[in-house]
Amino acid sequence: MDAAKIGELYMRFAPLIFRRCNKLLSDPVLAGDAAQEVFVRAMRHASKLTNDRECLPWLYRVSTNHCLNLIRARNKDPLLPLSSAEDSFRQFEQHTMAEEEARQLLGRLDETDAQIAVYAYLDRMTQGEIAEVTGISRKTIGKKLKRIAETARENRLVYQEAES
Amino acid sequence: MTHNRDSGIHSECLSAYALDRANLFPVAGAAAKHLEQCAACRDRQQALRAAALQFESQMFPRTAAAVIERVLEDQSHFPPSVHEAGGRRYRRILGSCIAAAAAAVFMLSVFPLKPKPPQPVVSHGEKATTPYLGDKGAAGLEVYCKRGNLVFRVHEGMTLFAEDRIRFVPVLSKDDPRYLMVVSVDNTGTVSRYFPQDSEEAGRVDTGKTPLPGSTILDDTAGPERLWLLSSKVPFHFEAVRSAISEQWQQLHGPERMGNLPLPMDQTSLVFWKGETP
Repeated sequence: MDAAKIGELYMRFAPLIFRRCNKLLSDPVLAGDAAQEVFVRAMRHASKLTNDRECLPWLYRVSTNHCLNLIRARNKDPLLPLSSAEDSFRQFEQHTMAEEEARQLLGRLDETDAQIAVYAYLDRMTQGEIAEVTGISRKTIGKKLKRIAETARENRLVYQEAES
Repeated sequence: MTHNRDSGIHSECLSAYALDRANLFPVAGAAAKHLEQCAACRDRQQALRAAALQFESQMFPRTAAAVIERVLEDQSHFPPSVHEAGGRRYRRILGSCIAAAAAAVFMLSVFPLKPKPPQPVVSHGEKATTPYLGDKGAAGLEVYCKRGNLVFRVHEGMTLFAEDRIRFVPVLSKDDPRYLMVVSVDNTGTVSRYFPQDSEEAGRVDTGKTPLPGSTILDDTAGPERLWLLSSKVPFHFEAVRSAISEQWQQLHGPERMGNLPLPMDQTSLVFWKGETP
């Protein structure tokens, strides 16, 4: 693939990748670095990026995995203020309890469940959309979400105790 | 906290994923119908498009060459067909050279070379005419921004906003005393001095990496603003700096086009953009 085509793909997809990374990392600087890394990795399977059906799920998977790995590696404080996905270039909204709970959950879930939690509670995706991105059946997604919600309820008690 | 949206697009608004898909591909079916009926989702979709345009105009020019080079080099070592087929990896000796050259050609074809700033000329006030005794590249600058309760480092090309509060951390390669000044020029040609705030003489700094005292609240002048950290082993005055900036501004008419000032001292600079207040 030549430089012009790579540049075209970068211009097309990098804003989306950056926005996702910024939502997960709550740090524009880290998100910028992460977005570049995600794009380079995504280009190793460039045929997915040029496939209309596959590119969006692929980018969501790669960016989520990369950011979750960064979060785990850095042992990020889950109580840091959060940024809104859509407004990451403009302003930062107040965090919501649901989003903050989701971040605390990430440290207590396995890799697959952590991804599903991100899609469900941070991205507000439907189960159908989560199934499309992860390749897991909607039935299984439903079961996992139920288990994640139970973990969140346990977590909420811990969170409320920490606040009081 | 519950999650009971099972499938499809019902009365609830579209997810970011659905909006991303609507922006990338022709939208049809339930998503298209929802967008016709939901002004909030249309606004969110428009905001995503605006963010993409902002990326195209600001971050893309500054990052594309490096990213393209990385991808080309990555592909020369690990061709996509190898990844896709899961075959053996191999290396090419000329891969890096080809990647760098291709990236440079691409960037030059899209973004013409900017005019070079004028060469340094030593002709200033009495304190600044003393020969500079510092080391090349001895001073770096880290800039941090506080917005609400969020703190992040400012990098070249980032967008900030009015009421953002910024602080400066000079990074000196040697722990020896230096005279520092932080100045800027905005999109209207207005020159400001951020450090020292209460004196027109450069401030003496003894330590290697310590935030400069005080912080600066950004005003609402939109557009690019260039910051300089000026560092010298001898004292210097703001008037010489202001003259140098004004002279370069008159030649180049834009902070993003300006570069090193014709002053006999270490300097480092970065450009950020001030967006319109949301």
